[in-house]
Amino acid sequence: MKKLITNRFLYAVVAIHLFLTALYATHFVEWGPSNMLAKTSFAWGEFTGSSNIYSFFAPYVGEQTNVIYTVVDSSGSQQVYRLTGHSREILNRLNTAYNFLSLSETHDVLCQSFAIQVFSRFPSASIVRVHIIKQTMPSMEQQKAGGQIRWQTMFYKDYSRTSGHEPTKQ
Amino acid sequence: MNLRSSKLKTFFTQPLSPDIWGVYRIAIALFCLLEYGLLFPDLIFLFGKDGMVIWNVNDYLVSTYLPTFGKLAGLPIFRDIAPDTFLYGFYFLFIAALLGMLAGWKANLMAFFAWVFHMLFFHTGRLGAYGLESFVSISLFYATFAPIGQAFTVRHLSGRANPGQASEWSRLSLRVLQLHLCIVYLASGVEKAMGHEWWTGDAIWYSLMEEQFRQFDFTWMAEMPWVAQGICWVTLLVETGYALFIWIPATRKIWLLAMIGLHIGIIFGMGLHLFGMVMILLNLLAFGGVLRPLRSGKDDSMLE
Repeated sequence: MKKLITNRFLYAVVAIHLFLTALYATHFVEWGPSNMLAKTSFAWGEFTGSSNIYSFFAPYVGEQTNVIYTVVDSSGSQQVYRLTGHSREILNRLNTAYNFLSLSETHDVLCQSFAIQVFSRFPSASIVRVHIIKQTMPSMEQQKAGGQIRWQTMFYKDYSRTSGHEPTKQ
Repeated sequence: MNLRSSKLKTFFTQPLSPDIWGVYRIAIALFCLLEYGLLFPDLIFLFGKDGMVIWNVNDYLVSTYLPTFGKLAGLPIFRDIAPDTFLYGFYFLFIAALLGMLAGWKANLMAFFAWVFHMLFFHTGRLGAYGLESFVSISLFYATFAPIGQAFTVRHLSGRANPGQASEWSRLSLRVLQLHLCIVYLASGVEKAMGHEWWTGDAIWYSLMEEQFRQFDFTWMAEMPWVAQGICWVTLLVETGYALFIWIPATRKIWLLAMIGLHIGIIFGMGLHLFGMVMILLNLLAFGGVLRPLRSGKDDSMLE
């Protein structure tokens, strides 16, 4: 009897898990209710993986955002810099983080965060310009007709070192 | 109705050897060791207090209930530890848990710790995390429950323990993994099919040509758009059809190989090496019948 109850409980848990996995894969967060039950199941799914969405490059491939840093030291000399790491994996993560810059609400906090990282790599830097650019790709048809890949400035922000690693937006 | 219910019961609970889970444990532990080994030189940059995304900003952007190093470091017992020491401490605890999992020593418990530590790194570097981290998280979560310690542990391989018996739990765990993959590909395929670019071929063109993914010069593709269109259509067919054709014996091998081919394309064409690798691993573990040569002499994971 105990085994039967345990089994039934486990099957129920498995069924709920798979149901939630399928439900959230349909972007339930966007079209579903936002009541307590939905919030709890989403939170649970963040740990178990059942609240993920799987829209890899779907329904369309987004534009790429990138960042160029201009580092200015106290003597006024400048250099252009790009954050990198020791492996391709780091670049993949940087690019993912950069793509969040297409959301306006992240501009201030993320740019400041990237500036702090650049200040820590350049102890003599007094100013860092965080320059956000966007890649616009021509379609195959446009490319065939002579279209070219273009990089456009989205915006930039300047930060100066005040004390320690805390940059101040200019 | 009874026959249906009985078939369903067999599908989910027909006892299955735990061998597949022994291989799963080793494969996932090795993969995580590879991933975090690659990240080690940039650990402070990716996850440090003043890293790529500083702790304060990250904690502001991710949900309050998710574990991060920023939140953990604020606890009284960790307050006096330097942030970098703190980070390296957890990193080596994570590696130790993965090594324990690899050896099969208290395998489920080690998998649980590995999952917890992975969640910490995942959510601390959340803004840089992409599909890879989600699938590693899912893989480790399943490892905490599945019978991963009943085959191919150091004790089994040295003859100090007998291999585990076939069990319902082993079968049910495998079904969960298999069905999860079916949901993943169906959702991904249907969403792609909703985008115009996936029908014209431009989706593959953009994916291969965007600077962040570009591995080779595919400019020539614009002159032969049917190549890109063909790849897009095959991707749509393979992904949306996976949930059906992977269960049919006659098409299983074709679909599995096609899916592996798709992920090899992602590895080499887009530079998403680890993501492609973990997806190939999960496909092989779920549907590959990888144990055929090891013990039973036949693939009993599907129940034809």
